[in-house]
Amino acid sequence: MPHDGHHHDDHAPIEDGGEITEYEVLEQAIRELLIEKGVVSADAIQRQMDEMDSRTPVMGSKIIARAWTDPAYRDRLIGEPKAALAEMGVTKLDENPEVEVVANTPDRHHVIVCTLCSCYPRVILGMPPAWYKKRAYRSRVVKEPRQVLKEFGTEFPDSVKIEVHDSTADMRYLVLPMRPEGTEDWTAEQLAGLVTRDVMIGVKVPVRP
Amino acid sequence: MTPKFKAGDRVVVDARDHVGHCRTPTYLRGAEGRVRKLIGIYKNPEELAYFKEAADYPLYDVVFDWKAVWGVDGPDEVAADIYEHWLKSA
Repeated sequence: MPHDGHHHDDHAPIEDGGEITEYEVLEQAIRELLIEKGVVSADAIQRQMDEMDSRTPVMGSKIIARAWTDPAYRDRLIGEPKAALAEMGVTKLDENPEVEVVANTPDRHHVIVCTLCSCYPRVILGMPPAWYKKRAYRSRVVKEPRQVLKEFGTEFPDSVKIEVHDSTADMRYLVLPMRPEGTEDWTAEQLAGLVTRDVMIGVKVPVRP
Repeated sequence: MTPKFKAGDRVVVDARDHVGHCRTPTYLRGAEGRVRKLIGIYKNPEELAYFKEAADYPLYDVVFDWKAVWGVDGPDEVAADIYEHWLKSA
């Protein structure tokens, strides 16, 4: 049975070739010029890309889980986010826009958007998801947040005020969600598993499975 | 630079047009809001974007009621970071 054990994973088609867009041509031309003129090196560009790829929501999950289990850390995270993030190993905070942490409460829920482009707490979470950059999310969440959240499966009674943060300038926002009930004896490591990227953007809330 | 506004002040976002890079969203222009806090002093992105010598401006966290932005009642709020040169006293 030669096919036994031969397994095909479902995946998006592998893109190879295809039409190159004007912007890609422009980016390539500028990049090559900068390298040629000695403004930046190819190595430096690659290091920057590797560093961006190394930032993932896993770091955010650990930070939130620590805030849930360590009240003093929670206070520092809200009051002095830069120091609190550095404590958890977030690097290059000085080279990135400042992060502000907004905490959900029983009567206030925060959701983050950048209506002008795609500002996002990249220094912690890495690259934003594709939908975060789409016009549909950016234009709708400031106008009909409850409808948009509902599409993510998140609903609140009117007694919970939704605060939409439009990241218009120099601050990047990270949502500190509420710790789910029934997780009192969970470890920080277990809790981190509940903190997805989407709950740190505020389109979802963490739930105990 | 001494910030003109303080937490609690009522402000209106200027409704002027702007050509070029700008971080004041059009949907908030003309809307009245409340200064929640001074974030700090930052360089004007309208100049910074073009590698010009950029002036320093106070940047405020401003909160807007639903009606002030969309003209209809609603339970929710929008918050945005607005530079002082786009704000007037309400």
